[in-house]
Amino acid sequence: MQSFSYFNRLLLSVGLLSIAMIAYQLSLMQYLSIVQWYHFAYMVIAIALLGFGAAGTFIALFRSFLLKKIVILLPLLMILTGICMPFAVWLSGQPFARFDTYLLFVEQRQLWQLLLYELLFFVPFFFCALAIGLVFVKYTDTIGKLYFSNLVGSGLGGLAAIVLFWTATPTLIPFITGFVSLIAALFILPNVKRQVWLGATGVAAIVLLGIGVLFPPSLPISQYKGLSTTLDLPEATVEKTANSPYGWVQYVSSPALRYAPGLSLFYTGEVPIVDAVFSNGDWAGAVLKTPEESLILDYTTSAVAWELATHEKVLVLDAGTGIRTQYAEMKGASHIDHVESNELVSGFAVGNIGFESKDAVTWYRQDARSFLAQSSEKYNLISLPSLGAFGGSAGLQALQEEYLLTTEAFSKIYDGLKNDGFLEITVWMDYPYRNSLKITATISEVLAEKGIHYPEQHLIAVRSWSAMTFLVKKTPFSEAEINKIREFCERLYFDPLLLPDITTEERVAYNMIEDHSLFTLIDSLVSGKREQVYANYEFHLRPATDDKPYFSQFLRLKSYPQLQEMFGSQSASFFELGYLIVWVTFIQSFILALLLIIFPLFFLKTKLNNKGWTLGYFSGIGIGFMFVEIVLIQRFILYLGHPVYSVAAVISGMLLLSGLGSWFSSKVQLSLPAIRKVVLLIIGLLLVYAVGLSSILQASIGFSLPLKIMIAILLIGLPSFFMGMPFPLGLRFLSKKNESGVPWAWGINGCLSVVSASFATILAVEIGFSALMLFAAGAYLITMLSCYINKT
Amino acid sequence: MKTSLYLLGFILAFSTPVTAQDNFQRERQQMVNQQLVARGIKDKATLDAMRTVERHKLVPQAQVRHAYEDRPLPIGHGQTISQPYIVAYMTEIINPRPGMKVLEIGTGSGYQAAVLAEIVDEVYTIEIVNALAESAKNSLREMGYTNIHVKAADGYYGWEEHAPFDAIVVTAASEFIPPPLIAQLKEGGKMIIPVGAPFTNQNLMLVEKEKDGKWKTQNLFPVRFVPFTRN
Repeated sequence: MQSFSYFNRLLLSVGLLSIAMIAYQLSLMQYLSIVQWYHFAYMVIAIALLGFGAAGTFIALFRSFLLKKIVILLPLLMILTGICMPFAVWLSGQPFARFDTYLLFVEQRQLWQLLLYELLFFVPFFFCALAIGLVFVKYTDTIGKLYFSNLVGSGLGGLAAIVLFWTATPTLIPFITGFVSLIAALFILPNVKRQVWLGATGVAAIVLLGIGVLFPPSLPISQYKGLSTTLDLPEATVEKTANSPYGWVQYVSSPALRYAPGLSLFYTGEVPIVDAVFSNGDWAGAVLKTPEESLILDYTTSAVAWELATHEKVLVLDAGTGIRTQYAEMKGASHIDHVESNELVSGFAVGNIGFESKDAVTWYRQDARSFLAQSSEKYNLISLPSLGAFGGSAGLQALQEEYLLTTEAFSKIYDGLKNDGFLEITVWMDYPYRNSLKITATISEVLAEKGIHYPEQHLIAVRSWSAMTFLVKKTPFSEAEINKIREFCERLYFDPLLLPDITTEERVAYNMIEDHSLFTLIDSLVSGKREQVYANYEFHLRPATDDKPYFSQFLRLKSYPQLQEMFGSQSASFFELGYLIVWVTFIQSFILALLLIIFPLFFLKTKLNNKGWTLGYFSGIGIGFMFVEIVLIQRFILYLGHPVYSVAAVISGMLLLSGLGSWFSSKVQLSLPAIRKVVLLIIGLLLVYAVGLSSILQASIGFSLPLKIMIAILLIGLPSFFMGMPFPLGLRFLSKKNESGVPWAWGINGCLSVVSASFATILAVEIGFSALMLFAAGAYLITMLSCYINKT
Repeated sequence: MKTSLYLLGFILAFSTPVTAQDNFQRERQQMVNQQLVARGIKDKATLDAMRTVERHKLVPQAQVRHAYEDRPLPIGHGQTISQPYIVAYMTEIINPRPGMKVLEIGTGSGYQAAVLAEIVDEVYTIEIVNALAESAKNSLREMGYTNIHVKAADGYYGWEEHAPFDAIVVTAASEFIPPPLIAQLKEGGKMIIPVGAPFTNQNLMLVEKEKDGKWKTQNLFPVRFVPFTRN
């Protein structure tokens, strides 16, 4: 009875620890997105899994000692996990450990600081994994239930993180998860000196929570982030702050903040002083004090859309802080649909503007693609947000899924136009030319797909010294409209970029550029010589699709040496910093993963049998599971309308259903043929998903949210249930034949998961999600084939 | 023996800084030859100024040994000191001459102001970040510049009391060119602005106020970054 009771408490404890760990992992992803950039999400996943891999190695090396002391070690490790969670965050903000993404390719010592940074965050994951790993090794016979508890806890941790994002600050969350870890320890305290353990753990838990609430650490935000540079401005103050799963949002005011993007040199009046909203430390938009101030846009290239007509019905996609909405209203639009999913960004601005109370404006709190899928309205003007950043970005957007900039999205937008309707998008000038060319390619491909034979009659563009605006029209631009565009350019010192029968001289009347290849390339893209440009240009220009929604990923690796030669190695790195960071993470984790697999193999050589089976079997599971997870997250971003919901649904859904599968696995006969059948079933399912998942999602994207959630649970849960089985089955099988191999197998699984987290991202960028799903099926095929080489 | 040691110590104490100075001077000379002349900077006044200004005195302590390297360096507050070539290019393009009055927006480290001050009569420079303005003001004073006037203020308004200016150098570009700056530039004057994310400086924008009151802009790609030609 006593042991049964202890086992139940153990199940609860493992579940609680898993909740804390996943919630911590997700909060760390947000924390690093704030203080650095979101690419560190990949680093966090890698570190977390590396902690699990390293713990496997550690157990393999010191197994007998650890198992002998398990009664004391388990609660101790949970306590250490709890304390290290906030402590790692605090330490990472101290000057000796602080590192900056921007300086990574500038200062050598930043590489060491990055390593130290990773090491700090590795520690809590290592302790946590050691505790869970010890439980798995000690109670292998009941691995199904324990794994169930671990996975269900992890799934609930994902949901807990969402709740915490709404209710707690980014710096408080690690203290809360640390507190939960300490509570987990309370359930399994040793009987010897129990009162002392109880007192110490209880006090530690209260102190931890107290520090988190009363003295939370500050957020050491990179000096190169928009929020930091803005707070350096005179009298800059943070007026409001709120946290949410969409991001940590701040409302900042300063008399030195002004808004007039790409303003014409013709303008001599006042430039409005604005407030600004930041999300995760990055600029999210300006907030005007009065709607009238939006008329400053009359002196920018984006005004060209209003030069041609007064648009009655306007759709503003990814409307942000609502400036384009206000402008449309000021220009006389009588019906404006303002579509913005980030409640806080629009919400802060709406508080100031109050446009929601106006009859003309309707705010749709949803993702632009979901709106387009559900709406059957037709508009006179559809406005997209500006693309790129002033002066060009450092490529930090490269790995951001941008579903509003895919060919499928443009096709939907085109369908949403009235016959004489316009699509408007402004692009910041960059050099070497990338954004402007890719948007031209995207629009041209969509026009071709719509059966437009003379795209130059449907697409015009005007250019200022810093930006260019593209206008697309369903029917050809009339002579009168073309004349109006020429007058508009002449008046504001702009130059036409795309007009029927345009000359080079006309294109540089006011704003000269040294490299005229912009014109020849744009002309080639519009005139249908796109494949030739895609093949020859040094950057990746092929339009993004829903299968590869990385519009801002321009780097072609084969061109990189040439870029280094032309621009210098440092400048070249800054063209596509984001993509390079993922490569750095991948290479780093690959080396560490190899060390963690090879290392114990070397020491345990005499004790292991069937090394090939263990390696193949558990590698396949590690890679396959992670690949599927990444593909599903990506697919459901578009389907559910926001990355946060997608991550929550996929992580929680996959882990919960895998947990159920794991529980069910104890009923599966423990034999290699039985395992092969389960894995074969998974491979079959993944192949079906690779081919058909996209179509199912596209067909049902317009359904109501509750229905979509049900479909999502079904689609995520089905493969997950079966994918939860091979791991516990394999471990049970291994423990029967060769018990000392269990921790090593666990380590392999963890390490390969580490590598595949960043590798999956690279593959998704290069070959797309459907192909990545095929790779996942291939990984499970390795698992299945490895069963044939098992000699037992 | 004791006397010899003292003597040795005396010689070392006084010769070390001299050697360090020599090293910096040599680095500066190399910088001019290898990074500037070799890439097409021709203006004698600009080259002389680049040979004279002690860049290492205007960078943070941790960056002193990299002061003359061919790259921008971090100076804190999310700002950088541009790479020497960009500073030289921006100086050359406005064609600075004695008797001129130049306005700089974005003092940063003070290096660009110092280079200009070697050539023109007066340099007025404005920095919005207080800490940077103070640090640059102190460094430039210690270096003996009396014709550089530093003000901690919002560069949007320019420096009306001393307008009009023969040229304006904007080292911290923003999404728009402030109308007051446009008004404070003499007819026929030039304004130069670097455009790019931190550590990149991929291109420069030259704005010219023509005699008829019209404006022209020109996107320039520094010679080092040869126009991005392709097949």
